[in-house]
Amino acid sequence: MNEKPAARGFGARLGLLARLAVGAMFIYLGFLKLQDPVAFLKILRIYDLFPQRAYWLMNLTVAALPWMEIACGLLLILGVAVRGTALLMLLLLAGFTFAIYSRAGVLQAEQQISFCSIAFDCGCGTGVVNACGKLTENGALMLACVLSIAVGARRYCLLGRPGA
Amino acid sequence: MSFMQEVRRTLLEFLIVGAATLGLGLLANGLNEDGLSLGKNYFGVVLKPASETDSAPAENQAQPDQAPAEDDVIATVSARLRETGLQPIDHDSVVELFEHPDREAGLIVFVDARNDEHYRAGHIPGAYQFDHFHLDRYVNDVMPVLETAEKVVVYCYGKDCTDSEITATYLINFGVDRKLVSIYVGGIQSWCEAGFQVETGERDSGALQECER
Repeated sequence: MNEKPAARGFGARLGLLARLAVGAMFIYLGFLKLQDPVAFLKILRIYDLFPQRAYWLMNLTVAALPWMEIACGLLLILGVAVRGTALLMLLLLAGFTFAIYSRAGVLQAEQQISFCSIAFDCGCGTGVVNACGKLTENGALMLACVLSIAVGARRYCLLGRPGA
Repeated sequence: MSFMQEVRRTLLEFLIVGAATLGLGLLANGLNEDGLSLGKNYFGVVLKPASETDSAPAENQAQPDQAPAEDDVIATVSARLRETGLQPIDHDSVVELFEHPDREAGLIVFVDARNDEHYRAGHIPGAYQFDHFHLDRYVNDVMPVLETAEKVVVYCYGKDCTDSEITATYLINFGVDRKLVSIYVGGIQSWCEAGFQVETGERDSGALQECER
């Protein structure tokens, strides 16, 4: 690649910023969810994502997800397995976004108000949020994940791959 | 490193990170005393079928035509409870029971189905806590009290919260006569809206105060 050093430096800094932002956000949200697993379980139930017989899957999600978020956040910040971690977070965020969009749609139909007026506790850990605001936030985080995957582990990484 | 190698490496990282963090999550949950039991269906408790020794549910509480003050949510929840064989009870009947001398004698028992934080922040004075997510913490203390009770009122936050319903189902399945168990559908929300005081901290702490709005 005949990439100019300045461009490489800019890309690396942008990648660093992206993974720091996503990492910090996931650590924060993971800690919030850990504070009250039962509350998280109750909210997850409202989403009706799992068949009733697969209650263990809902329990598994509630038990493991906050720790996964914290661990992935740390890996991104430290720059360990950046692309794989960012891909995992991207898929998680895609799932969250779909669930929030679907739930907000249900609430919109019930309440007969505009989509961006819908506010509800999404189970994200931050309490009641505006649907449009949360979807925008998730979109930005997904973009940051894509950026992290694209840039990968080059500089500012604990276990970076300078040649990658 | 070629593009395909990068892709393969990324997918490998994805799998390793996914498996490792999932394992970490399960381990941490297992070590946490407030962690969830993965094999327990927290919302799936089913009311046992009524046996010949069980009394039929009382017919005199919170019937739709007797509850003009109930809002739509309370009416809907009450109807659903009746369909599942549970008895809803309206706010006025709850107040009557609360003020009845039998409550002081332990014959009328209030059961709060909410978690520690909410219970300690304010519960109906004298109510026992019975959080169904942590049954083992409460069964030994509460069940002996209910054995001699003549009326049991279970409540949670109110309206569409389901903790009181699940807790009442557990109590009946544990042996409390279903005729004695009623669900205060309005819950602590209706209690507070009506201007009644709550007790903070432990049961019988005596620390009464207005509800925080």
